[in-house]
Amino acid sequence: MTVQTKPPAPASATDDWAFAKFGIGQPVPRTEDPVLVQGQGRYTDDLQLPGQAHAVVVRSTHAHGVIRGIDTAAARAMPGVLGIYTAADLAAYGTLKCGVPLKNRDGSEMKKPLRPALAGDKVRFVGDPVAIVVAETLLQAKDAAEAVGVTIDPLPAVTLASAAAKPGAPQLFEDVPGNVALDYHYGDSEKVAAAFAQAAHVTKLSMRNTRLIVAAMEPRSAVGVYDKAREHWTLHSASQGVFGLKGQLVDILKAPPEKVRILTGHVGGSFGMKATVYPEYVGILHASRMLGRPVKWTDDRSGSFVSDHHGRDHEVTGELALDKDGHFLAVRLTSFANMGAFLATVGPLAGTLNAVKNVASVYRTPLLEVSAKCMFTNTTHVSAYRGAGRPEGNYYMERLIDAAATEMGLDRLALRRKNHIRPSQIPYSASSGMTYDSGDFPAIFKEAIDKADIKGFAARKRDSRKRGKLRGLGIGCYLEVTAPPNKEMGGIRFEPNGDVTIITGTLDYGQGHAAPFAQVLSAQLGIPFHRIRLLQGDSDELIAGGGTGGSRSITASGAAIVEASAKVIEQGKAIASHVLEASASDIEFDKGRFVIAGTDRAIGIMELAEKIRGGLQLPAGEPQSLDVKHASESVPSAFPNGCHVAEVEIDPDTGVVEVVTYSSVNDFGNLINPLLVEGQVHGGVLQGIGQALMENVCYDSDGQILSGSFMDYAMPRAHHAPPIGFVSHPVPAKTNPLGTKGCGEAGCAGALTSVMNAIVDALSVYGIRHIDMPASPARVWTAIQAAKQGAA
Amino acid sequence: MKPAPFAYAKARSVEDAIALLAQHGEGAKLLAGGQSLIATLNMRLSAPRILIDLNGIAGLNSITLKGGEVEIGAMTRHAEIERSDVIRKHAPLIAMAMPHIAHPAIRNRGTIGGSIAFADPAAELPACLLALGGLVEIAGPKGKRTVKADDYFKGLYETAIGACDMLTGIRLPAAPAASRYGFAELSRRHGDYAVAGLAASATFASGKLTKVRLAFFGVDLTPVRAKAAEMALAGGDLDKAVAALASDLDPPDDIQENGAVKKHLAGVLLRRVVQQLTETRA
Ligand SMILES: Cc1cc2nc3c(=O)[nH]c(=O)nc-3n(C[C@H](O)[C@H](O)[C@H](O)COP(=O)(O)OP(=O)(O)OC[C@H]3O[C@@H](n4cnc5c(N)ncnc54)[C@H](O)[C@@H]3O)c2cc1C
Repeated sequence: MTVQTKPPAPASATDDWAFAKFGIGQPVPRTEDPVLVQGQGRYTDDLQLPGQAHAVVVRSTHAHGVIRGIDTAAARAMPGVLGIYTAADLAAYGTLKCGVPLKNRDGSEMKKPLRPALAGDKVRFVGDPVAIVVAETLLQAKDAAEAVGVTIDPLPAVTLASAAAKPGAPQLFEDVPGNVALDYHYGDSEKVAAAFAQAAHVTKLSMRNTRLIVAAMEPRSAVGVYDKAREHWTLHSASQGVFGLKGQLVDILKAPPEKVRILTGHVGGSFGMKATVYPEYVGILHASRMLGRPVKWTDDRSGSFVSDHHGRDHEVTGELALDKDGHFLAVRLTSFANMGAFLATVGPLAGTLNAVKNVASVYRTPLLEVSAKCMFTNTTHVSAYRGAGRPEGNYYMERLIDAAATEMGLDRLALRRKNHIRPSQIPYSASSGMTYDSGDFPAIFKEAIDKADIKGFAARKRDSRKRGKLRGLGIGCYLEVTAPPNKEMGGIRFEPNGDVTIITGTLDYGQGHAAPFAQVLSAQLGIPFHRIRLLQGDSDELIAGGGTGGSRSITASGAAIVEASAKVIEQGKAIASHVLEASASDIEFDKGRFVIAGTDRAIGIMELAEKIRGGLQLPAGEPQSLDVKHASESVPSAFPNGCHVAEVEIDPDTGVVEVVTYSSVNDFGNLINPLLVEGQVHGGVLQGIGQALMENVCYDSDGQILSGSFMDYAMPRAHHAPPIGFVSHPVPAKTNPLGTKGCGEAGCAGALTSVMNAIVDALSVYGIRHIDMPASPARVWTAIQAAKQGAA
Repeated sequence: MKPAPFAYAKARSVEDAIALLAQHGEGAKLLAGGQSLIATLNMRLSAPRILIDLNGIAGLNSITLKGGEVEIGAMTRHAEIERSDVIRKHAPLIAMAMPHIAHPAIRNRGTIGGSIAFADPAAELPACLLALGGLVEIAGPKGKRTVKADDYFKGLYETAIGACDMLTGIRLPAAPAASRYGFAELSRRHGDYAVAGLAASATFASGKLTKVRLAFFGVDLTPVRAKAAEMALAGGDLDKAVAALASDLDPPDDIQENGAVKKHLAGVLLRRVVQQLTETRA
């Protein structure tokens, strides 16, 4: 199943009108919506293949233990049961792998314990899959799954990363002493230590970046199909890009690449979570091979809470060294990053490399050191979640700055201004090793301060006070380093029916790629917007693809489309030269037409495509079509940045926090489609407010998840969203042809920092200098009481 | 379907339901609005052998004013109560509580009988019943009986309803002229079960509160009366009443709050509710 998205044709349209309405920079509505809101989307679970059987996964109910036996006899005898598979059945396949190439601080390799799809010897978290039951119907599979008897000798469990590092902590793997997967280090310790020694002031904060569930609206789902005659595997599954997923699956199945195909339909949210191969996919593919039938598996929500990877979960000590005037000298993070029970594909990245890249943000910070211990614990694995280390890094810095301002008696606005990298210093070589190509941080800051009417804050605070509320204002500057360079496909295909298909290796999982990508192509080639469709989810169509993630799609796919368009033009000139009977070198391309220079003789690109379809005879050795399969070589990371300002009101009697105002000024470079960009910011901000105020995965001391349903795990609702002010202040990126910077993750970065800083600002009347997320009523109230008692 | 397999019987009358209960014993569960029951079935936290559906029984979804009492049939939906003029006029405390119960979709199906029978310690209606000193009508193999609210709640999810009994309705004293009601709750998000809540009734005349009944919810295994605080309020001393909560209540910790915080929040709620009880009416 693949989804091709094509916008509806406008009622009547001249091309000029279409250009104005669908050009780059226009707020074109999402073309997916008419399909999706009418319930005509094709999500993986909508697929019903002939002969399809259903799988249910048996999961460990213990957080840690030795498997003594799996008794499947009773379950096998139940009605409809077709097969039950355990680790032994999957022994021939490869294991799930972590793709992060980092080394320990002593240069040795990080520990990457093998992770087979099903647990064989030990279970290591609640939800660890131990068996797959396949039956004729879903209900039969469910009933049989309950009849599978798994005997486990429980072992003590550990769920907090810092606790896993303590002597005597339960050990997850025999060959991973102390549960340390990776002992990461970046920076020059001696120089950093010297800077701290010389500093006039050092600010130090311990911060916990909460563990979150990803909570995609669509649970994970997959259908595995093995074709015995062709020895060929097909996996229908949600993903964030089929090219990378295929690479992982080829490795696990030990199959030749041409024998594996991945198809992704519509995807209902992912946030980093659906990017990789999960154990269930291996299980159903094996089952399909054994049974000769397609096998479908769809998670239920209780399953999602433990089987989808989690996000964040870092315990960090942050330190900022300043000179007497408040100039930053160095920043140092020393942290534990919780990996869960095994390493996810990019699990270790957030707490290590991405912390390094993002912590210094928009500030001159000559020295930087990050030490991070990536720890195994008896919890669900942790991996990329909207930002994957970017919002975390920005959060630590912005909290440290506010704390430093308070401690040094400096104005927090002035302190930020003093340390902003100036436009004249750009290109700027940051202590992270990144070179910022563009940006105007002081101007954005000023605009954000003005937009938020900070001058009027004192009056608003008095008004809140009259109503018995504490009011606080928080600032959250951010700068994010988007995904590292990766080959990306820009395919352009002229279809028999006259449509033009864009093929990309990025994948829309809710963002709405179709409209902005079509806007880019339309601008390059003058192809009418409503003739353009988008194809992403078929690995057979792709020659490259980094997938969607790290806010990279418009930049990477945009560049690939621009480059591919140039190739289309080259091919078109050659072909048009035969139609127009002129030399190719005399032909120019202008607004969708191939023109003989200096004449009015021309042919439009759509007309040329029509002629080719009609059987135009072209000399051998010359381009035979306009179609292009292009792989763009690695567009570098961009540096989206901005400043968000939030105001909160706190009820001191109950600890209830409400975000009452929110504004933001953002530099995402050029906006291809401002409507969708603003939507990304809205979503990201509310997701950030969710983390700041309420979301939190809790485990008990046995490693049982306490927040295992939406009754216990609080998600933000519509009424938690304040009106979110959005201003674009573009400073185009210089490193990609469209000058875009990426906007997908910025909302979280701005919201975590501005909301938490606002809460601490409101609570500063009690002398409170830090409070951890989530700022739940209980935590806020308890902090107030503790501060009052401390003062008394 | 998500739950484990179960048999299903549609009761045609109260007697029929009780006969079915007697026949199937422990493995049977009554199905009212299903808003609590079906969730536990779907998550396979419980697996009754048979569901006895009460939705086909006629005459259990009425709201009537009779002899100074408001009678509400067990199968009356939350949404019907929310829209009822009789409730607004004669049982205003229930009307005040209604918007706090879950969300509109759940209120369309959920029943008052289900809420009172289920007796979730953080639920609104059981506390209202207690604050109003209402009566619970129970039918069982030996016939019908009436239980006072003060005697009805026994423990966590445990009530005076026996294994083969069914709740058929509740009766509340219709609001007299000088009566006052107060309701407040703190929940993580609007519509969630309460972290702590208070339903109160009293008489207010010449600046004095009398006949005070305070029913806290979300702070113990059942809704609880705060009797020392009631006495203090009748004596006109709000501060003393708040202080008395220290002995009236002993909230256990739960996933959201620790007991000490809940105790404090109970005091905050009491001040807010007393304000409602004593404010001059427009
Ligand atoms: C997301 C969500 C949020 C909710 N939030 C709240 C909230 O904030 N406050 C709140 O009070 N409730 C809340 N509820 C619960 C809701 O109010 C339920 O409707 C109510 O608790 C049970 O009523 P019901 O008719 O659905 O009963 P059912 O779910 O059908 O039954 C519940 C239990 O009571 C028994 N039972 C039902 N009727 C009778 C009877 N007549 N005699 C004897 N036993 C009977 C059943 O056998 C079962 O054990 C929420 C529910 C959901 C799903």
